[in-house]
Amino acid sequence: MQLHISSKDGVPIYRQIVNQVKYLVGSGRLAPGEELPPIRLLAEQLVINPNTVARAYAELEHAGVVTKRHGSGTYVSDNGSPLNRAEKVKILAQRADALVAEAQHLEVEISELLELVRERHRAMQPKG
Amino acid sequence: MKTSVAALAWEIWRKNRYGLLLLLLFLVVCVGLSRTATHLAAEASRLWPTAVTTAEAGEVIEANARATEWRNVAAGWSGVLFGLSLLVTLAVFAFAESSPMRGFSGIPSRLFTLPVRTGQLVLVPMVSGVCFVALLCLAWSRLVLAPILPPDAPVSGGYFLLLLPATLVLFQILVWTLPGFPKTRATLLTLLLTAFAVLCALPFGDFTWWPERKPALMAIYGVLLVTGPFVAWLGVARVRNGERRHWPALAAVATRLANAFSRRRDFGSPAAAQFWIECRRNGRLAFGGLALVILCVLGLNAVLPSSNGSSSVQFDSVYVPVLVFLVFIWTPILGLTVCGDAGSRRLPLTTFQAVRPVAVGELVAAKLKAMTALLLCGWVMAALSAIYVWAVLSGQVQPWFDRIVQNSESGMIAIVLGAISMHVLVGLFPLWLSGRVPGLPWSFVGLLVVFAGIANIVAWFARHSEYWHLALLLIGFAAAVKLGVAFLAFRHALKQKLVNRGFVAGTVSIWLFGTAICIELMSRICAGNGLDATLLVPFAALLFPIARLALAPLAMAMNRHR
Amino acid sequence: MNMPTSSPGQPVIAINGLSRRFKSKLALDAVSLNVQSGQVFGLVGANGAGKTTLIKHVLGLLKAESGCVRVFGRDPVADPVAVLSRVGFLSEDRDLPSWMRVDELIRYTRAFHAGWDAAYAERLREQFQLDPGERIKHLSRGEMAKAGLLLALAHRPELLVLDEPSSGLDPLVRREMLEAIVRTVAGEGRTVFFSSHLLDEIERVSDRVAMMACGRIVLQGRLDEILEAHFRLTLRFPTPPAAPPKLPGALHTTGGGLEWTALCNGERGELKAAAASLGARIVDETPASLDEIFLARVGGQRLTSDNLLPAAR
Repeated sequence: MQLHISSKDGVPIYRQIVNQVKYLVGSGRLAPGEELPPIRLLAEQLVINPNTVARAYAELEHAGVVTKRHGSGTYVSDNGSPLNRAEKVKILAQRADALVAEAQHLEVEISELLELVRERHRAMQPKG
Repeated sequence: MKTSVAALAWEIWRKNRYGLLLLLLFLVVCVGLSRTATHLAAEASRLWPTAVTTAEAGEVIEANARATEWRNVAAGWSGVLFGLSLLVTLAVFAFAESSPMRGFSGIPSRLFTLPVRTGQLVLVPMVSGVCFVALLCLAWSRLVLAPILPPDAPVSGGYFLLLLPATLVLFQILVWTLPGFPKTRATLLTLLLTAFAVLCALPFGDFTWWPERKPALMAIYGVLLVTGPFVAWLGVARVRNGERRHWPALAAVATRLANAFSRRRDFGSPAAAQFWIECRRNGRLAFGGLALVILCVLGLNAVLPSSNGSSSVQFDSVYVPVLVFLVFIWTPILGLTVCGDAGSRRLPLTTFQAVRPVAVGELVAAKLKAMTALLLCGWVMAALSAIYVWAVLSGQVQPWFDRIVQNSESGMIAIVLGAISMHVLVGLFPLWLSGRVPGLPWSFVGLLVVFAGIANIVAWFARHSEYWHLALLLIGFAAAVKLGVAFLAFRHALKQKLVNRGFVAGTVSIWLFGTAICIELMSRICAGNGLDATLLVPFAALLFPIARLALAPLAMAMNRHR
Repeated sequence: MNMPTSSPGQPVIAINGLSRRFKSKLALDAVSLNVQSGQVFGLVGANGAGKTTLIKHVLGLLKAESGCVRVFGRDPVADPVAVLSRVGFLSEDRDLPSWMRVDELIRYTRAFHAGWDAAYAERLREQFQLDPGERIKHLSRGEMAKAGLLLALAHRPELLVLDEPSSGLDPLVRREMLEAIVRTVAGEGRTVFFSSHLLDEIERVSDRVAMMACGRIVLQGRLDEILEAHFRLTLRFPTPPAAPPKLPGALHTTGGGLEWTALCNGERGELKAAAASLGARIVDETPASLDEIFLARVGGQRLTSDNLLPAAR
């Protein structure tokens, strides 16, 4: 699991971990049932305070993204969590925002844009 | 300050203004003493022709005696203070700075990054130093020494005027061209100072070969003076360009030697570890200097022809300089360096030593043990060198033994020297350990003042023997003060848990043992020579120091917890 | 995660009303702080703020002129052995005896600590890549700092005191030292008390933070609470105000023309109301980083707008 902590963002470190774990789960890079690194190991890897990692894990557990199994570590929650869907939609919404803004800038109509999207979807379908 | 030369010269003055003021003070004091002596002598000689009656004759004799006394005092003080002035001058113009990490540098490396030519860096301190020393020499010989010494004393004249600047130039060369080899440099500097002392003493020695050798020596000094700046310029240029290790072979040998002494076993206890670090840090410098001086004195005496044919006199002339060096120079330097921080050369404790998780008493005990060990080894070395000379002059051993056994003067001299040595060793112990006084060379001014005071008091009592009961009272008072201070200091240290009872018991028992030996020896000598024991035995009882040792843990605590 | 000390609940370091004067300069001014067991406590301050003086008081190298200092419940001046044997210390100037070799230094320091772990020391030495035969005076700055850290860690002390551990070090060595600190706390729950003027380090590893300026503590508390309580509000005015707007609770305000940014500490609702009453519209609200908070609290007047906005965005 690759996380990146930046201390100049102004965003608290534990929140950065929470956001990034949520993103990874949402984009499928962390599969359901996969184990997250132990608190101590992640703290040493990222060179941050273990309490910060503990707080991030606690918040993730509270949000339902991960579950703590007694004595054997922290695991990603199984499928069916409503958060997955919300995360996916959020990712697409960001992409859509960028696309719409670009279309505005290039002075392309919204109907043309939607037609383009459908055309690309058709082109990506497997033939036959 | 318009030019770089002026700036460099100003820096020398500003950095050392207290030292230079002290020199001025010495000069003024000695001029005063000298004038008083000449004034009294003039008085006495003025009275002499007009004395007719016995009363007046008695007055004249008294005036003469006073004049002679003053002249001796003036001569003694002037000699000592002149020597100190020379040492201070050497230190001032050597231009070296010390840093805790790298010890003494040569010319400070921050000057190398300034846009000045190496020649200027070298010539400014050298030329100003030579002029200063020459002026100093002239001033002292004309104003202070000439009036009070007999007219045939060789103080004026070109010999000293050439010797002193040549020594300064050599000193500067050694300091500046060897910053990468601190131990070699220290050794060579000690050699230089010893040679200088011997060469200063030569004109007063009344040797038969002196008149022929003197011009040759003066020529040598002149050559040194002329070629010195050039050699210094070459050396400093190499140091400036970073060619410090310009003798890789020598550096390799030095490293191999150093590794031979490295510690391979684990330590049994914190006390052992502290003892090791104290000995390691101070041992090599202490021994190196001592061994070298002994070797060079022996060498010099082998080379120079003796004044008479008698070998026992030659033994004295060999051995007395060694003893003098041992007692008056090596011992206090040993005491001072041991009081320094075991990690660096300074007196205030570095953080590394101060956070050792041991009580202050252990730190002090390690220093005392190291000091005793080094001192004993030093005495053993001196004794071995004496035995070597005896072996060389075999056939003289028996008469020497007889002399020692019958004539207890040597024994008394040995005791007094031993006591003085002990006292200069722990001379300013509490002050040095407290880390709040500067080390070399200012501590020696303090030591000098204390010892001069005591020597003057003793001399006064020796001359005015009718006041001996007062002397007894004084001894009793001193003993009371000493024991009182020791008692209070130990009690305070125990209460603050700086030391444990073992430390106190050990120190007190050593003191009792030492005092018992002193008393025993002194009473034997008095009995053997028929001297008056009522004064000398109590005096002997005072000789072993304890108050300063008791104050040592308190001083060290002041150093550690500021 | 937390290892119990001799009496649980007792702070490892307790400083109360400590003041210290050096000749005429007041180096510490009624400083009070507590460090609990298992915490990482970061002391922040500019050079000359009094961090090293405070640390020297903790180690007993300076006597408390007024106020009291207790480490593990004891006075470090009265009882140096009990305190110093449980403390590992790395000083700011890394003064190690320059003539010793690395292995001699390890053997020498080992003699003083009963709890010395020789295997751990050897692992650290290999990890820090220190040649045992090398003399200390020939080590580089980074290697000297690592050697000092080795000595401080190898006897597994309950309290690790570090005075500017990263000063003068390159980023690689800095990272190694931070890793060692995190490992100390993570694995064994020991307490760390360190001072630094590198705020991103402090932000990464501290639980509690104290900011010092001119010998006084200007801000103290849990790091996450401090970061939550401070934020930056950007206000947009319809017309350029004559003077910089004064918001209650704003520590530092910069800007020019129509837009002004204030670093604030206080109730968000109140501040928004105050901004509205001044006639400004809030266009941006971002969390503040620790160096912005520090600069605002400590160096207010001398800042320009360049300093306050984060450079790397």
